[in-house]
Amino acid sequence: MKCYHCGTQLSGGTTCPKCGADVSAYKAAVYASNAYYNRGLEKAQVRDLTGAVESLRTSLMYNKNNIKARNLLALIYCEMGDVVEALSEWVISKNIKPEKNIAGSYITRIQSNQAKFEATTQNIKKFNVALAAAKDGNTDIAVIQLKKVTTQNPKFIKAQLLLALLYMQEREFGRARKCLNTVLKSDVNNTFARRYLRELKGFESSKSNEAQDSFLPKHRQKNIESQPLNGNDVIMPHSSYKEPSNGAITIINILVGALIGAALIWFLITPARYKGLTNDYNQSILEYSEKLSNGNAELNSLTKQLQDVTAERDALNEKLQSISGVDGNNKLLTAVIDAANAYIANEPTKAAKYLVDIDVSALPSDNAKSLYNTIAAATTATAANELYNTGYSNYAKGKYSQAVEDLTVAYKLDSTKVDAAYYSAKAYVALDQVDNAKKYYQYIVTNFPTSRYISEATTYVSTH
Amino acid sequence: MIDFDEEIKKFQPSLEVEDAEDAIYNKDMPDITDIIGKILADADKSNS
Repeated sequence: MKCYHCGTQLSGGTTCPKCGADVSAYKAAVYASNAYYNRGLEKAQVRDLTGAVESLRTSLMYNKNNIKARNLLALIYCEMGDVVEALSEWVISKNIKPEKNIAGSYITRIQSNQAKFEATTQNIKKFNVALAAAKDGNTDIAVIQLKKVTTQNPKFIKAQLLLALLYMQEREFGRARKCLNTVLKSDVNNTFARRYLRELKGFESSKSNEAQDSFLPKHRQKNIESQPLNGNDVIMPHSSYKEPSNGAITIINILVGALIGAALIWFLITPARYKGLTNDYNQSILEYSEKLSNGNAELNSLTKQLQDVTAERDALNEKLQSISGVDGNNKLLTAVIDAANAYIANEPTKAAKYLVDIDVSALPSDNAKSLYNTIAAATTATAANELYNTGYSNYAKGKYSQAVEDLTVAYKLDSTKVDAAYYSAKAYVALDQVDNAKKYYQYIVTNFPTSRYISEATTYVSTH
Repeated sequence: MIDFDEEIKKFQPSLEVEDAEDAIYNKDMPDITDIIGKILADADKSNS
């Protein structure tokens, strides 16, 4: 105990050892507060909550700093449903003694479960609404609200008492008694509940006396089921079903039921199951067929690509072969060089033969083209005449093969030489090479329409 | 018999969260120890 004046710890004397203040009355007040706290604690331990609240309030009236009394009072408020009231007391307690105070743990516990706290405060609001409705005479609304409140928190003493009072007003004594008994389970000595119960008993006894004094035949006392129905009552229809008395019939019924069940499984479930399996199987086959067909299509596509690539490769090889010699040298350049050598060796016909199959535009360099043109200009005409003469001589001698070689080259060297074409065709005719003969007759028909060989050429082309 | 109107007047609304702060401040009323302290303090002043 500390001095009210200077806060010094007091000893057993009646004055403060530090400031000398008279603390006898102060000590008496603190002792009284503690005594009321003890009384409140005893009442709380036997669930006399109302009595405990009175004692603890008295204790706090003597000494508002009695932390134990305040905390216990808050706990009892909480038990009675007044959670906000309890929280207020704990907050005050914590404010007076911030350290080593159990009120802190209570506050933390409430704050940690916000959802429950919210529901509880909503319940309190509903009670206040119901109380206002009851005071305004709206008993039905008040009863509905209070039913909700007491369902959610049956230990809400004030709500149960108010609901009991309303039931008593509505003369629903059974329900009122139930509410009052609930109150007394939580608060065994609740003054209101005791008084209401006493009134209830008095009313019921007077009612039974009235019934005894009546001249009318006595009826059995109506229980709660005979009272008018309200929204919460459930009507249970009377069933006409009766259990069979014979055990054998029961067994037969069970067997018949089992047979019907087996038949249902056999005729309904099994086919459906098989059908499902078949469908799955068919679906799998369909999927695999589709994959196979896609694979085949892809294979065909790849085969076609391979063929194209192979053909392209062959064409390129052929082109390369036409450009390059067997030993890898450039065939065209080699031919030009050979022609140049023959020309230098004063063999114009031989030089012209080298040049006859060369495509000048395919030569790789301007120097090669220039060389080609120089040799061709110097040798072509001379070689064409010489080859024509040689060829014609062989033709006349009946040496058609040698004649063809020279005459065709002569025509290639000089395309104006219609005689070379004509005797080439004639030599082919003699060699019985119709296609080659027709080709050279066609040259005459196309390129030399006014020549003297035109009628013979036209006749051969048209008849072969 | 219970007078309903009289009985219902005895019921007071429960404290709601919105009113908790005011309730906490209003509860800071003097107790007997405060009163005793004040009386003794006044007596000391008058003696001096």
